[in-house]
Amino acid sequence: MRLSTYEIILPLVGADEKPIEGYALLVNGLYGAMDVVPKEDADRLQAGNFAGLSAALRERLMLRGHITRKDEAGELADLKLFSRIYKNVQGRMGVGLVIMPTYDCNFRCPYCFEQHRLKKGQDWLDNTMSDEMIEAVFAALKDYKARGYVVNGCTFYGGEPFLAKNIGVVKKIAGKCREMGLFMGAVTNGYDLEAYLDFMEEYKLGSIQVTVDGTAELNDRRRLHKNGLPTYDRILRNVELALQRGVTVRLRVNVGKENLHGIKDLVDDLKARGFIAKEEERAKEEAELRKTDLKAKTKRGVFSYYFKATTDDAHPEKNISEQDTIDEMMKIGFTAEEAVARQSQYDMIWYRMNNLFKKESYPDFSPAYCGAETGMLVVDPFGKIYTCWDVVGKDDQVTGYVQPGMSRFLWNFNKAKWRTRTVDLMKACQTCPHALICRGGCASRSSNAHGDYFREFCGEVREIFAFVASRVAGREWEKRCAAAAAGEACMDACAGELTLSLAGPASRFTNAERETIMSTTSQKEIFDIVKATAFLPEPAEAEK
Amino acid sequence: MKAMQCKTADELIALAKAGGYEITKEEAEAYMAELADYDLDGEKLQAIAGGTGPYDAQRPKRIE
Repeated sequence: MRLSTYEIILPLVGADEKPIEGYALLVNGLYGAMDVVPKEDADRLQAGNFAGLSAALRERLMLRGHITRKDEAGELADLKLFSRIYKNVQGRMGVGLVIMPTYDCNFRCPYCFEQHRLKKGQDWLDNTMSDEMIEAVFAALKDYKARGYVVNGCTFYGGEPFLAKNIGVVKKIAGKCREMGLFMGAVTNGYDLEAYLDFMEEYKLGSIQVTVDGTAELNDRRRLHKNGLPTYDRILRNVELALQRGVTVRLRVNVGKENLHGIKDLVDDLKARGFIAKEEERAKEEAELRKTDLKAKTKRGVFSYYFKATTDDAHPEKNISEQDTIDEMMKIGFTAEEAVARQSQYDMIWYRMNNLFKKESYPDFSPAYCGAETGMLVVDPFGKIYTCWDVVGKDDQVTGYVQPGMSRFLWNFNKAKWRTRTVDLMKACQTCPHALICRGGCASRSSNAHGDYFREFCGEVREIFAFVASRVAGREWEKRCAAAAAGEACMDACAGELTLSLAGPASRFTNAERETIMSTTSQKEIFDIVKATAFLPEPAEAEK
Repeated sequence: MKAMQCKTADELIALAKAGGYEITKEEAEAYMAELADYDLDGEKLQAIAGGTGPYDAQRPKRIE
């Protein structure tokens, strides 16, 4: 018997930000099992003193994968099995479509990761996606759909996708999206958004992401118009107009050393401009409407904002850590929970864990960091295809192309390299407890750090997970204890089991089934085995 | 285009090698999978948790 290679042991932190004494959180990064145990038992586990555990606890921890008789290779075999299932079943089913009407942009943000394209000159930048190219892209997408793939949505991206001068081409692309029933969103700097208000309403644009980096002058130095014009007031005015037209707006703030201490001023200004109060009113109105219609929406769009530490690779001395943004938010009065909800690297873990506590689904087992490894399709104006939107314009990272007259996408071997950038195949990740938590990290960040897209990038994932998991689990534990104290629940032996565990389903595969999964390329064959072992839950019945 | 005519991963590996390009078996299989149809019910599978992480295949990742 041994402690799992993938075991992470963390303290619990309560809602008051104080450690919860006497208890610890066990997280098995492979099977996704999360358990609260007495601290002395966690100490015994770390010391390998399994005999010192009660029989019931020892049995429970073995069944859930925290303690195992498998050696490192045996656990790695499970990681590879899960990864192969995911890559052949869920990981291949869909297309994350991103369309770039142009590479041109009216901003010159100093930290932009697309600066390489500026060297090609304004004539090149002025190119937009031609009518023939639009036809070819959507013919290829229809081919994809006909071949069984799911294509749900389209994100407009650039450069700046919503330049006023390009509304004609954007409308053509949106028209095609509408014909295919695709949900539409955009990543836009918001400067020319006024020209797109009618468009967004007519084509029912679902959501946009807009960035401001602080108030007024601070923003205008970082979100820099190419002609030196101020941008802050105009962007926020356009955000308000978009919200009034029903568009969901996610306001992103890129934070570096320069503007870290400007966070408070920005939040205060958002309040002063009414964004926060109007969102609270909108949420109340929606809650009221949904008492009679579960899918009801308000006329006004949803507004939210979040912070992200900038990665300015040209000037790393200007960078800060993700934790710095959390610390600053808590310093200006946000609770830990509120700060996490507004930090893109933290809130996903918080959201995921709270979902897992419902025990309605097994923990995630995707071995891939993001859509770049599982089917994102970024089409540039020239028909070149990339799988990651950080690398657009870099010819050595093109993964395929589409051309007028063609009705399907053609791939080169780069596509396969991106598809296989997964933790089961990256040596450094294979025996890391955080393998299925960080999933290999960002390829673009790996290139900046190591000069190689196809290596791991750990970043701050261990620290971020420790911060979030201790607090989410701490709050859940406090909730359960309070329910028990109120007589609404009992603190039996299972009270500390916070999530389901994949250890159980994994044990149901026969050796022959494992061999089949690891060798066949037939999705159907893999899915039939997985279904027979109840490894995946049954889909819920569609609501009538 | 020749790659699209390969029937097996081994054939693809050999073709790539002839062109001076080394690919692994996993890469060859991943490439062949791109050319194949998706045989399962994607709409139903979308609803199954346990496979949908924060970055699922339907949506690009949030801009980092």
